[in-house]
Amino acid sequence: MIITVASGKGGTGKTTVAVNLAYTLSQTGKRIRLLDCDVEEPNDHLFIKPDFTQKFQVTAFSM
Amino acid sequence: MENTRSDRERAMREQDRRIKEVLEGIKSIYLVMSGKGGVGKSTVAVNLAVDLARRGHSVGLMDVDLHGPNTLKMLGLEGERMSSDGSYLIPLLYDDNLRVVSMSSLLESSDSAVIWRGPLKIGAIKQFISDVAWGERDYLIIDSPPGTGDEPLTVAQVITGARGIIITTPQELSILDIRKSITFCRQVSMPVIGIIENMSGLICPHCGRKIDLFKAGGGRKAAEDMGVPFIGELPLDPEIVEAGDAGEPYILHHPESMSAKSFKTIVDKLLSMEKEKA
Ligand SMILES: Nc1ncnc2c1ncn2[C@@H]1O[C@H](COP(=O)(O)OP(=O)(O)OP(=O)(O)O)[C@@H](O)[C@H]1O
Ligand SMILES: [Mg+2]
Ligand SMILES: [Zn+2]
Repeated sequence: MIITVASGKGGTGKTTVAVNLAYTLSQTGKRIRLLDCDVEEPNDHLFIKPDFTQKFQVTAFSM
Repeated sequence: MENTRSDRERAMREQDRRIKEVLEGIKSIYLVMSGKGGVGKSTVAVNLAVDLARRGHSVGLMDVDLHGPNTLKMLGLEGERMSSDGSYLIPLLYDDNLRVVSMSSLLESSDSAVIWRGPLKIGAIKQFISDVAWGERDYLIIDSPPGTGDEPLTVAQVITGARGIIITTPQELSILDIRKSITFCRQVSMPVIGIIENMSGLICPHCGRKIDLFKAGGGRKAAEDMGVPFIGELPLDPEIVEAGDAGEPYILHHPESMSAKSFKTIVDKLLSMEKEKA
């Protein structure tokens, strides 16, 4: 199952809901992937402070 | 094919010429931005525009939040449509001094969703400048969506002379995000006027004491850290929500309240900073 957390308005709690939803579901023994697709201001990692085990270089178009 | 291509190039040159012409008639241009959403950009932009107009300046307010344009609603102009005189769009008139342009005045209904990628957004924003009869303006205030996407980028690139006013709430999450906004401004060579801390403490409606709901002082500290001016702070006030939802600009309808005074202090500071600069 894929759940997308979205809203038209800023500051409404998308990140808070997504992170807590992912965490709560993970407590039921399910295997969860949490994808932070906010390319400008990704904040999920601030809430759950994961250990990053891998890093990839991403190339975007230059301005 | 040749023909359409040179037609397009001619149209683009003509647009650039019109943009330049329009910008020559505008003295100061502020881009209200934030890293984080929902921190009060539109609220500040609307009240700033209304307050400057009330002080006798000629003001334009442009909403480049194409996906969530809120300024018309906050001004009680929701549902009003822009008309055209054949070659220019006529902005909506809030009063003698304040003219407003928003994506929502071009949409069929307030439920319509704009699903656009970069090039279309950039085109729309350029048209908001080149095709609108702004006339001579002392101030043009531009309300943007959160973040550092196409909208603020287009403004920074197309509207030479625009300067950033950065809105934050006091909590760390928001502060982290405005540091990105400031870095963005530096990268696109757009001067930053300063930071406004919004929702800076809640005035309890029961006892009148201040509750620091999102912590306090983060905006001032970030300004110091990043080496940009701190413009001022606006408390969290339930009446501001009411006013926004009712389309009655707070600053006009509650001019004697504590929050309105804080807001006027912000505008005073802004004007004195402008004077110093001149
Ligand atoms: N100082 C304040 N006190 C109380 N409520 C406020 C204050 N400033 C803004 N609000 C309210 O918070 C909500 C969000 O404000 P606003 O729409 O201005 O934020 P925004 O930064 O423009 O949001 P977006 O990122 O979605 O464009 C609105 O309901 C508004 O009335
Ligand atoms: Mg807004
Ligand atoms: Zn109280």
